[in-house]
Amino acid sequence: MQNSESRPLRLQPKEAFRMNPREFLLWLLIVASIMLFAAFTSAYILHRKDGLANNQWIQFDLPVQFTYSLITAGVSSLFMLLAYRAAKNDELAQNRIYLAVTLILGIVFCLLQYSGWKYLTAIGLPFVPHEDMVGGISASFLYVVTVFHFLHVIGGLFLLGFSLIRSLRLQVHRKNLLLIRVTNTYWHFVGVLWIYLFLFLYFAR
Amino acid sequence: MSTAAAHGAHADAHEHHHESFIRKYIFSTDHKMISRQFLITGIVMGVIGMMMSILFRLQLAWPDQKFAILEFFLGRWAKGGVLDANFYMALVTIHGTIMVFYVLTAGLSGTFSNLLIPLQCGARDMASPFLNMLSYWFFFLSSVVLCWSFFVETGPASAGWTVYPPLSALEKAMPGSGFGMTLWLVAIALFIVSALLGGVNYISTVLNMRTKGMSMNRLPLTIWAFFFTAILGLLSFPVLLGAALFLIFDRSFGTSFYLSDIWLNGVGALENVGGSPILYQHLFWFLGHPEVYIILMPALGITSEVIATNARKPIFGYTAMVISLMGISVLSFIVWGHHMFITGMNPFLGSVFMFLTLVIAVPSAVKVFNYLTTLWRGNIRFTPAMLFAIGLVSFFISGGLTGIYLGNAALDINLHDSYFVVAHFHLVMGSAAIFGMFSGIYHWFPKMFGRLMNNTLGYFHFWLTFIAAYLVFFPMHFMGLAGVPRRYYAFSVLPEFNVWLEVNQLITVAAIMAGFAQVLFLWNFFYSIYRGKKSGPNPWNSNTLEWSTPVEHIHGNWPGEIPTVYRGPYEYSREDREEDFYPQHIPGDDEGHGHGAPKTKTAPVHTEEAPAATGGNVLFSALKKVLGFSPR
Amino acid sequence: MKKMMFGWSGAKLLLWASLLLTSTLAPLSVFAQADPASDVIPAPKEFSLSTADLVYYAYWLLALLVLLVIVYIFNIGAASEKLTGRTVINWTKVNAWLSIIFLVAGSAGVAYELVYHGKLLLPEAASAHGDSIDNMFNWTFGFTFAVFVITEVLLFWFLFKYRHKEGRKAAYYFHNNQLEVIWTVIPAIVLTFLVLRGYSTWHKITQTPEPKAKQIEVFGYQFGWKARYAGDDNKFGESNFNFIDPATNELGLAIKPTVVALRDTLMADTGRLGNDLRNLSSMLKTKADQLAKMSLAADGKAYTDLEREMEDIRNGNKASELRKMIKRKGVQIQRINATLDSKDVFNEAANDDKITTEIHLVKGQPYTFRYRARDVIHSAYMPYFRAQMNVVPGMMTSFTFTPTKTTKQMQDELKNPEFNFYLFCAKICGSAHYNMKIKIVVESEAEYNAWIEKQKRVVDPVQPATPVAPAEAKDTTANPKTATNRNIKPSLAMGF
Repeated sequence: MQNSESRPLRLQPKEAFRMNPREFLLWLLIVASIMLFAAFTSAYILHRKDGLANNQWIQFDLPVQFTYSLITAGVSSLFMLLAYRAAKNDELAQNRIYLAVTLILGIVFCLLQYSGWKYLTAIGLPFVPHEDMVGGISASFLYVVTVFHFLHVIGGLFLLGFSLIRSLRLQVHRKNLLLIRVTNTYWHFVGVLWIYLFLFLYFAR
Repeated sequence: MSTAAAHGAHADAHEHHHESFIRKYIFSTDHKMISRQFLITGIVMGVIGMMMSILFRLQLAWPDQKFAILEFFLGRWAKGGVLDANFYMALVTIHGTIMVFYVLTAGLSGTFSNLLIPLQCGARDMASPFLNMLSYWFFFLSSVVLCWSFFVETGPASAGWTVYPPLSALEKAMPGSGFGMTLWLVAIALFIVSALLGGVNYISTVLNMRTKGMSMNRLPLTIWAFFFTAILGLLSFPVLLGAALFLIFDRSFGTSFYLSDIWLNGVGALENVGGSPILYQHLFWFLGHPEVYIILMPALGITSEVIATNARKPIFGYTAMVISLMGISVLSFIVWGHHMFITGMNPFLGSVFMFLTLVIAVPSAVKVFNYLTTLWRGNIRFTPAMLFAIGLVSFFISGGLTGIYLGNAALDINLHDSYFVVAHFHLVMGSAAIFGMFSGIYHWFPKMFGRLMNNTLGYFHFWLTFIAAYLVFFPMHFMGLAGVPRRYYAFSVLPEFNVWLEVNQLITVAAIMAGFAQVLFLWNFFYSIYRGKKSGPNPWNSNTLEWSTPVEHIHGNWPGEIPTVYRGPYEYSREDREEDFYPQHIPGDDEGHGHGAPKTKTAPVHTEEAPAATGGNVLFSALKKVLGFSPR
Repeated sequence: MKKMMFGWSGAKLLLWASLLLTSTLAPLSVFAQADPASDVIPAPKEFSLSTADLVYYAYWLLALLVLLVIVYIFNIGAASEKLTGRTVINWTKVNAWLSIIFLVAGSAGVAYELVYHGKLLLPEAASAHGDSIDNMFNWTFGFTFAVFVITEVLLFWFLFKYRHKEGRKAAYYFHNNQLEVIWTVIPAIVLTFLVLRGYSTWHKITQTPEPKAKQIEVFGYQFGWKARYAGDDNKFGESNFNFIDPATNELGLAIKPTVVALRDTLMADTGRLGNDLRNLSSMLKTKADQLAKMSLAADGKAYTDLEREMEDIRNGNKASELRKMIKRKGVQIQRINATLDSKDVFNEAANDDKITTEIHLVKGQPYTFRYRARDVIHSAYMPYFRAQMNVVPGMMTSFTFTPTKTTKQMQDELKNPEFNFYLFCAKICGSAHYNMKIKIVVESEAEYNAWIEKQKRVVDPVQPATPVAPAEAKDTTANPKTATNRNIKPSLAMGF
């Protein structure tokens, strides 16, 4: 996001800044993403209400992998927080370690999600419902919601990887926090989003 | 700001003069160039959309004529010179898509937001010039994909610009629902990405990158309009993306989000159960209604600026104008149900949506009255830009008033999907917005290209287009009241509609006249880019900041320091000044109406600078580190 | 500079524009010919070729005139302005007067149209609630037309009155809270009135129960409508999209022999398709032999079609398509089997239903049309009854109204003996969308009874349908509930 074109930014008179415009961009993109998930979940609620009334909505328990991934998301958010604080305090070594842990947990999260889908497909709830199955649309919704969250996580992994490389180059420190702050914000957003989605899917089965 | 920094800025700005052709003209990150790219692409798409409308107008006016020349151009779509019914649907669909999204969303808002937000706010460029460039190229790609759909065998999407499933979801339901529909969805997905990237940039720039003294209540109304437009887009386009994604899944993977209980000719009973086609309509119109204002509000913003400048009067009721824009924006999110009164929705909800919809008329009325009062006792200069702005106000009145009929659930029963609707939205969001766009082009052409467009041609362009547009769309009200449904390929199967044939012919002739008038515009536009009269730095004696930049474009906009702003943008014809304008950046003691002294900003100052790192050198230095080189 | 620009550009402009015009308009006259044998669009009777020609020539002349004027103004105007330094044309004046002319001419046009097509605007309503809609319309029209006239007149009058004059300064007038409040409050009051009135009208139309309403089912499909009357028992038989067979059971009614026959056909189809799937390689060979005997030059499209079919077989598209069809038919068979034993579905109520290709209504009798769609969304639009409702697959919708005028009455009133009520489709639904209509006849009770008597029952009571051998009903896992006819699905509609 910030690799090219830094010049006009520096030319800007400093007095006008309220927030770093690029960090603000991230917040706006988060708003857009929230709207996307709002659309998904409101469609889900409408369909569910309708499906339950017509007996066209299969109710099933979330795979246990999703619970694990929920824990993973929480822990990795914690490490992200630590990494950010380390960077703020110029503790570069810790910063690197925490970032790496966060990244690894992120990858674990992805694997858990994947195995969750594998499990669902195996018990007969694939994305495209079997033709003779009525009400498999509930599973379709689950896949849409979780896969799009997954895509967000992948984006976050790239950001984390990028931060880690910067950190290895000793370019993440108290005076150069933009990237890690953006990563931090985004990663927490992705984590919170998953908590919300998990609770949503759990309670509105 | 220290003098050293100012010098640095100066030097930096000059550095950018030596750019390669590709960096300067193609993958440019300069907002002024991107704005020109948006404009030219928008104009090209507009020409395509206009030609399509003339094609289907020919069909409506002379349904039993053979136009041999059509077969020459369109081949199998016009066998024997008669337009194919499927192709007619495709034309209607793509005309709508192009005009709504490509011309009036990207072409209008993309062009002028890009041009004016940094210039009028006093910023060197957008918050992220790189994302801005991506925004244009996604838009370009999207246009290419949409045009490509004309060359696929089954033809482009033809389920109407709203592409309601199941018609659009079932490949066998009509030829246009084949590969052409897939391309349409891909094009729209790309378009949404472009709109979002653009939108976040606009919002961030307006909020965070205004120059010293440019408080929010000194922003020109154009910026306010673009700002609200961008917010609307940010909140509504993702929902359309969601709707499109579900549709893509239904089409390509076999899910049943929108499909249930269908028996299709040639296929038989489908296995899909449990979906709901109405869900799509809810999602679509949740975007669709704000989209109307995404189209219209930039045009209203441009009009406010142009009318104030050319009436040589402050815009009347600045605060009321901003509040009404805000009101329209907020309300636009909770009125989508008025597109769905007759889908079998709960009647109680119908009345709620009716109430909310009619409330929108109040801020709209405020805007109209404020425009009128701005003209009152003005000293009106008839530039083409001014005439087009007046045209917008006229269309906004005529088209807006018919919205009061359609927003009324009881009246909508009879008028829904009739020509009355066609007349309504073509006036209020089609003609009005395109007039706003023309107004903006005539007004800011000197800023974009450093030359003036020819006024005389502009007058002809205006009057021909204005009269033709009324001739085209006004009679459609009467057709709609008589119960003529829209999107009909021919009316000949319903004998009672034969009386409308001559009206249809009148409309078509007027449409061709309008098309002809656009040739004058195109000529004027492209000729003036190269040969137009050279413009001075402030040809309209305007107050806003963009006219304080040099005529010749430079990267960074101002050669020296960015000017400080001392007052609001509409200080025209002040009694205490000899000149009838008072630019925002000219220092002066008094601050104009309603605006306080320049505020000293005490917001936190960001010291960090984005390191100039490219993927390549990051990788390289990471390697160096791993291999044991010293890190610094 | 200016002179040079228009010296040659004017001429070039003329050339370009005429080229454009010729290419768009020339076919009207040069290539145009009446189309006597068009099977797609029956030619409207009133239309004659000379109208088009006339319009065409008039248009050409007009365009030429405009062009000449433009060129003249450019050349003379620009050149003399350059030479003398005086304004030849005062564009401020011209534009100011043009706006007045536009205002007058536009008003005249609207007035002319109101008189000329006045009869067709809001044609006489032929339903009970139609009058209340028209009443609502007239109130709205009154208010909006007044606003329209006032604002448009002010707009163009201000343009004229306050046009630029040298030495005059505009008023520095930017704010007046009182005025703002006035024009916020007045529209708000007017709109409150309209909303309240609209609400009561809407409520009356959609939420007033009509206990005496007779039900008629209207079934929309690509591209046409069918109506179903409940018959003597006054009860509609169940229906299901899985039962649809265009030849024998267009509406998918629950008539056991027909449905069993459909099931058997489907099973036979499945078998045949399975055979095809197994014999794809030999099919490919036959086609290859066939192709060898043909040539591209002689057979053209047939040759390329055959080539494409072979390609589909080779790359597996054909096989996957066949598998899909087999699967789909299998599902349908399962669903049919799951319902076959249900007494709720096959309750014989459908036997005396009557499916008609015209809708006949009795004047003064309230009716509820219940709408069902077969394939895509349609919209049942009856402008004279001021009635419209979307017809959505998988969701039953309805509209209640009372016809108050017979067809005969309307014909007399409109002095048009050809007049008929129609229900037509208003929601885009495919290529023949414009051709989707069903005639509605409103008549007296006696006439109606005579007509309905003549309509055939779905199952003829005298000659019952030949009993079909009891089928070996399979047990299936499919949920029987899906296969039964679902009533109005309220939740989704009400959820929002």
